[in-house]
Amino acid sequence: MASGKFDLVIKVGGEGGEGVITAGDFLTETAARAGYWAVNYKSYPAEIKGGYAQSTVRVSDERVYSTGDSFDILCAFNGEAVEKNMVFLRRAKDENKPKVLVYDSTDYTPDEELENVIYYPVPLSELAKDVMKAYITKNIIALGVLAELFGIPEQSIKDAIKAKFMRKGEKIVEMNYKAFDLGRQYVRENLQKKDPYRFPEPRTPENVVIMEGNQAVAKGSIAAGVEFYAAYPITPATTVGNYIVNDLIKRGGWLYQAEDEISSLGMALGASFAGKKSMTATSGPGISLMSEFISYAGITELPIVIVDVQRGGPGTGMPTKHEQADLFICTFGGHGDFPRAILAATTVEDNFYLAVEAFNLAEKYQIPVFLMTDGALAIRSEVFPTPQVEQREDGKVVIRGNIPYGVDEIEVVNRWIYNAEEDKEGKFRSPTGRFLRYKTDTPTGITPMGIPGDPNALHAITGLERTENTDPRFTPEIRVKQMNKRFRKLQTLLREDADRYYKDMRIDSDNADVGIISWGLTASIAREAAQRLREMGYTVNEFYPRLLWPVKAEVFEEFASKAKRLVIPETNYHGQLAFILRATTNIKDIISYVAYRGEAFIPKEIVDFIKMAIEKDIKKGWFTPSDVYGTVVGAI
Amino acid sequence: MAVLTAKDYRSEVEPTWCAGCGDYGVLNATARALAELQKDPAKVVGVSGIGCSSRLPLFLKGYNAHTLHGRAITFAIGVKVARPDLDVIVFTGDGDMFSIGSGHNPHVARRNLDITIIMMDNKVYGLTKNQISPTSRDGQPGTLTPYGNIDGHINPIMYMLTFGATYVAQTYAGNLKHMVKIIKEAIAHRGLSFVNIISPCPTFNKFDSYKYYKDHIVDINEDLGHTEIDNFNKAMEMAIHWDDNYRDPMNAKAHIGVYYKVEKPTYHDRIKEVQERYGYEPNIQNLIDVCKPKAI
Repeated sequence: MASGKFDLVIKVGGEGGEGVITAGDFLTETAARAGYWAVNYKSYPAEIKGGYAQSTVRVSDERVYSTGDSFDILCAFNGEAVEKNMVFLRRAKDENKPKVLVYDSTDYTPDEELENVIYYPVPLSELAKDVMKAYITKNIIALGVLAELFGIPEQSIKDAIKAKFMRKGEKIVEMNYKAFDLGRQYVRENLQKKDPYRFPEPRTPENVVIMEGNQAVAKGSIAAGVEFYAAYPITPATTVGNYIVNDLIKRGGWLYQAEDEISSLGMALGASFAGKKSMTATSGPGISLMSEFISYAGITELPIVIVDVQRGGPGTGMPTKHEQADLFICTFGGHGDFPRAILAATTVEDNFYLAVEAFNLAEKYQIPVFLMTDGALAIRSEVFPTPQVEQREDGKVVIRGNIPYGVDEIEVVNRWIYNAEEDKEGKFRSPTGRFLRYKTDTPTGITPMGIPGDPNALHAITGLERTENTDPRFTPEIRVKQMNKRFRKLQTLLREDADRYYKDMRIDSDNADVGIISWGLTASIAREAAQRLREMGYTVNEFYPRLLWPVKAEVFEEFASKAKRLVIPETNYHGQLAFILRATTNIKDIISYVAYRGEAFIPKEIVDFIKMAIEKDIKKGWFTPSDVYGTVVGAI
Repeated sequence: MAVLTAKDYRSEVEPTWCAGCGDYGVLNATARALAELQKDPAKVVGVSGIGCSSRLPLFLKGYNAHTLHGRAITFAIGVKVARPDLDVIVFTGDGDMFSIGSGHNPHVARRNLDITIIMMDNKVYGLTKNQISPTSRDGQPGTLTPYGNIDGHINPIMYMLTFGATYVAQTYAGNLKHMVKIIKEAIAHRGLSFVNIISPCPTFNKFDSYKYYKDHIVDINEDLGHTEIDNFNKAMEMAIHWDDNYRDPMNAKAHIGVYYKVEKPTYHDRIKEVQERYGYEPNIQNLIDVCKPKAI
């Protein structure tokens, strides 16, 4: 625990299907009900049934954005869960606080006493089978054990249990309360508390929601007014669709399960052409398949939001593992040159607001917009302040809340639709009266769309280069004018909108020991690392841009100029953001710090590397945790 | 609104097809069919892929989308699901629909989307200058198969019947009157309609000429007594005979006419049922607040 603060990491591990994930969810909800903050990192087995699953819940009295370096308490539902975590238990001897192991003594007996580890054996399986006569209550018994041992507020946890089971009737709630009480009773009668960990008293609960990453994407998209979603199942993006389908229907929209990812994007673009806010969500392989339509969206200037819930690549790669290796394909994928924008979320809360922003950019600029997230963020859940959606009488929608990148509110943007009434002088009409969908001389590059049904904006779209009135034509003059028109939209975006995504910046010194730039989930971990480095006495500047493309070079250059070294931690091999910044800015020296083992960094790895970089006066290069520790270390 | 004529459905863009291309006939027939139905041009959306035939929507006045090779159907589905009030017509070719785009055919048909698919079948890739297609005849030479086609052909009529299309017909670019009648019916049909149009390519397919079809065309409804068009088995049986024309082109006839027509609920009918069951939620905040810890 951090000094004087409440900050506890509880990990529940065991066989998939034994209620491990549910137990973690209960702990998260309990924290919210007791007025505390929580982040819950889950991992499911890759197998369809069985295999090791875990849920790591960090509970704190202030917002935290990572699940820390390791657990304080491990609740192991079986022997495998102990073995999987042995590497962390062994590390306890070098740490300044003990680790606690609560384990199912029906399944496991420790063969050694590890230093600085406190053991609490509980026959979880036996209690579930023999006393409760219901094996499925094992996780609730375990919650009772944890509640008694660590003083988890009883009312909050019982409310969480009731909320989950009340739909199934009073009897089921009672059975689960009984299981919970059984766990508590076992502890009282059989165990002596030996550890220092204890929940504080409940506080007045904040107005919060608990969402998973993909759920936040779904809810944010609904708030933005999405009307059409085309889906094709792919791990770990499928659940965006699962979460959005019911809401979408209730809002008068539709989710169409396509026959493949090519179709998904084709359908979403068709719906966009027909006037609807449209999206699709996929993972790396799906982005590869969509590439041709991404390029088509670029030339036809159709607004579209594409969510990339990244997974470990390449090829089929590691579908259930974390990686941030799609930045290249999202930035550069698709043939030819065309404008696009890329937003990347660092937390679940970000996912909500950036989904709205992605629609805003797509609709305003009529470009493909990528919202990049990843598999670990997808199934992470977070407690965060409830976003507020105000639907005004005039149709305007304004979203407020604790917007993590420092803006006060987001007004939902709708596309510019041609209105003949407002175009009396015929700015968007040819001398013969034809609608000029792609007029080239607007200062912003943006031109109004014609929506089917309007007799005044008839036109065809085509993937061919075209004249202002959309006739295919490839003369050098037309080509250059049309290209310039399309790319002028990116200049407008950099001028009018980029800054709002660059606000999450902290400058401690004009000559800091280190400046950290990071993106996606890694940013939420780097943030904690930066704080620890500060506590050690280093000066640290931080910058977590949410907009990764286009790049406003001067913002990055100025940030880089204020530190002795620039470190970019990210979880891919190339150091993809570092690569892009080397290409688009005048920043000379960048230290790329990468991990590509299929797991997120832990804060300690970033702290240890940056300490090393400062001590050895490293200014540039490419490094991995192996350069710090001499070996590949798993974190989860 | 004034009465619209065929030319009111034509855009200012002049076709770029070769002289004698069957697709001119298809364009004329489509414009006439739309005029006879007095469709509002602003509410007709033509969608195409890539190929000679796929240029067609660019020559129509209305809202049109010339999309990617093989992907017209996907885009058309998006348009139709988003805006069921629009008439959506896919213009495609034998390569576009049955080679690169074949994966989409089963799914648009089984769902019975209310879309019309007009396929111009010239049995050749023309835009890329003479390669064999999935409907090419045996022995037909192509630049990539100079030794003559050894690949076998597919029967588009049988496929679309099997996949669940609820209107399936074949017509011929050399018979404007028949084309107009069939295209009109296909557009008016509620559900997935598929029209295969034999559309000669005088530039690259010398065998399937106007002269050949003049001698071989037979109307299955008028001449062969195929009148029970709601009978799936009879439609399939008639469709099988399209293969005769491949096996023995000199003696077997080339069929035109309606193979199958049946009324079934469309995809949109079923969407409406689901939407009614769900009801409408006017307040977005309510959909977010369900993520709060539940009140006990």
